[in-house]
Amino acid sequence: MADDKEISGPVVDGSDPTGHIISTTIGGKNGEPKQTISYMAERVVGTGSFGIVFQAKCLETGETVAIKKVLQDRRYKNRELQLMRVMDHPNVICLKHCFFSTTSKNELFLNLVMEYVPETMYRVLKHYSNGNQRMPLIYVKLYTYQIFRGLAYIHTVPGVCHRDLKPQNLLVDPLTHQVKLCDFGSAKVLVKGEANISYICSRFYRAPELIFGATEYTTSIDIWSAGCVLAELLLGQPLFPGENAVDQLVEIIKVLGTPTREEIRCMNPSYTDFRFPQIKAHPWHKVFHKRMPPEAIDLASRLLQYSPSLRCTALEACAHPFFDELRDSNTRLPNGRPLPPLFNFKQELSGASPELVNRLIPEHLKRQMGLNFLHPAGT
Amino acid sequence: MGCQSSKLMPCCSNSKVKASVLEVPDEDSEEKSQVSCLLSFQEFTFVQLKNATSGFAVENIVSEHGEKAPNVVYKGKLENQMRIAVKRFNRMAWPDALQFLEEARSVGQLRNDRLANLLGCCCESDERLLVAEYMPNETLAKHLFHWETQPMKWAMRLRVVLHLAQSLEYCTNKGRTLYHDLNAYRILFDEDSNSRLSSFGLMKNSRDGKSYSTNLAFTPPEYLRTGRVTPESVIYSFGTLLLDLISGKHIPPSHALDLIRDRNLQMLADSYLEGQFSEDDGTELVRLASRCLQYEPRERPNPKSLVAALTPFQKETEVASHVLMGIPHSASFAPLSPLGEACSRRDLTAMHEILENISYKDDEGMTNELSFQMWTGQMQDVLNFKRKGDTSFHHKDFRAAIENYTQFVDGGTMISPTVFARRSLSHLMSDMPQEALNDAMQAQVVSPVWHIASYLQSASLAALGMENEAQAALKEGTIFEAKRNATTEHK
Repeated sequence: MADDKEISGPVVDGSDPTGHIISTTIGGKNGEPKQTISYMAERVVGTGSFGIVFQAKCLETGETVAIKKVLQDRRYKNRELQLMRVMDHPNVICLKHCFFSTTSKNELFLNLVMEYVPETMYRVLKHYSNGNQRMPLIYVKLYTYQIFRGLAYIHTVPGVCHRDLKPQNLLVDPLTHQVKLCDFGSAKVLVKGEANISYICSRFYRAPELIFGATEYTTSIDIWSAGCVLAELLLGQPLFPGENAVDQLVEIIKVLGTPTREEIRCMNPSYTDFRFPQIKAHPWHKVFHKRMPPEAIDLASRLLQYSPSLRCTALEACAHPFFDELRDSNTRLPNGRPLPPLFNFKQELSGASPELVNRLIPEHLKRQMGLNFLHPAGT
Repeated sequence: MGCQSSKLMPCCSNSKVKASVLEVPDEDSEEKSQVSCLLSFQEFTFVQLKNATSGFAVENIVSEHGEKAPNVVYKGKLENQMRIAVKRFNRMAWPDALQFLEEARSVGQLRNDRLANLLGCCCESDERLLVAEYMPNETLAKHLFHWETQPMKWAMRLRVVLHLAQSLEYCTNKGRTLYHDLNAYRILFDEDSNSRLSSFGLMKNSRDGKSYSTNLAFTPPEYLRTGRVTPESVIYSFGTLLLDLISGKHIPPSHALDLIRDRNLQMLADSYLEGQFSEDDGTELVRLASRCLQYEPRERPNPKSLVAALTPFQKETEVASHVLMGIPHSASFAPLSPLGEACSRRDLTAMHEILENISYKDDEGMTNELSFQMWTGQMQDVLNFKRKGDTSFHHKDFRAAIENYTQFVDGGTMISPTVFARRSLSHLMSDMPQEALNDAMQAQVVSPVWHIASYLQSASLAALGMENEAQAALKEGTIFEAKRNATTEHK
């Protein structure tokens, strides 16, 4: 990966980069030859308060990339860049390199060049709901499993909390059905005992402790969001479609019931004096359709817990029986092609119990690898 | 206890109760005289139950889902002043009238002080209703999950779970082994703040056999497989309730079992219980819970062994439940307003003065289309009766007041709770307590949460020599008045 100090890219920018060619130089250090890379901006694929994302083609290699262009405050390092540099996982979007560019107004922009993945979960969901269809269960399993695998990696290896997990920030390769987490613009390494802002995460996917204004939350807020995504894939529409911040809590209460005193204390101890309307949990067989496998409901209810510490971890979610079909050596994609790689774990397993590791690696792979995964005592 | 209304009821001599006692002469049946004091099961008319609940007034709904619940529960009061809970099913729940009657009669034979006993039912055309003892001190869900003044103490939680085991043991001995949708809303607290199991759950609640209303993650695994409830499924639900009591939160049982397996009791236990129980007790109870939650139904304990297992854990057994719960006992309650106080002193003169001062203020909002009706001569006559009645009432000529108010009421063109209240007091003054009570009840039918109606009922009941009922009505009036004041302050 290139280092930003060695990058220059003095290209004048307009607000719409389409059609522009951006050139930048990399290398030139430690005797490496300097190399020019040029990108032809093709179309804008996303805009937001952060800046824009556009699809571009590398003229030298013909490779398609996504470039996220954000205004850079000269006083600070860009946190997203710092985080993306250390991350390397099949279910996390990969940073190829980055460069700065300036405009005629002397504004400095950071350009993050990333691999290009053509679809988002949002669009895939829309495709099914437009056709009045539900996503086939195999895809629900395949997609959510990969979300949890990506989360297991970012939570345990670099210790990053994504803080804005939602269908729009989940990329899907329509051919391989690989899923990648993207947009680390809100992400942060959470340090125990340090306060964080609570006004993060998009409304439908916000964990209840954030609605309660908690500042000492953990990576379990991403688990809540992932639970919302799982439910949305199963339902075909958002589970908690709140119209505003307060209504968001009402939507959650309508499904889960009013949080108990103890649960409120677990979310934010300073909110225990508040009174909430007492509503009984909505029967889940009415939330989900009749044919819903019990494993899906079991997993969803372990993710959508009011008490943050009671939500399962991302790795525990991966090991859940709901995903057993993916660990079956006979399982194929509906078109007959093999599943994308799902078990090439690395550092994310280092803190896991032997029993959990044992459940994560399918029998057929254990045999194939000739690895001796001993059954830990008591199992 | 149900004995409070004994004076009005042909009690303790009923053959049905005795018959069931004779059939199974076990320890539960005869020990408590108070239990057999309850009326035997009876069929009510729809009109009786309609009157008892002030026409199924929204104000009388006590089920937690409120109006939106598929089957709404109302509180009510029978003519003999007995407080009842009335469950009204939606039309589709019991299409077969005979099946409903048989089921209700069967459950209606049970009498136990660990149950909110089923007193009767009503089955007229499309209407299906159940009548049970009224439990004034709310549900376990309220006290355990959504408490207002204090979290439930460990000793009380242990008592609740023992009572529950005892109620299941009783039902099992009586051949009623199935309980549908056992959860924290099914456990109610009586006037002594002892917990009781609602008898409504003993009735299969609908044709489609949906026996669980909660999240499927909390339902017995065999129910998910077969859609059927077995006696062992009830024990599974008992295990989830035990978890509720230990944790104070809704943890799916499968997840709780994982935590128990990993010895992660810290994460499981309710933080409000810190320091209240020993680690050994905690470990033992969690072990009992996990036995109830066994995947294999056969491996779960039966109610009898649950009672045996839970009995040694009981704490502070000499302390009354209402003390543990911090709920004022029915004998003592909040300070009274001038009217409530006058009522408790049976000071009819003071009550008269207060009623005079209130005038017709509380009739505001009653829908009487006066402006148009004023045109008719008949209407004018009716209003004249009222005016004359008011003058007589003012001058304490109660005989004339009764006469004129009666003319007004019989005219039927206008409805005024205040007129009923005034005529009730006039009856009291004229030493006609039964008529006074009837008027006070009428006032409540028209205005279900009006404190003055309750106060007048209390005064009438006292005059009839029904002390306990008079106290209950006085308490009700106090509560209504407090609620009313709270809402007007907020406006």
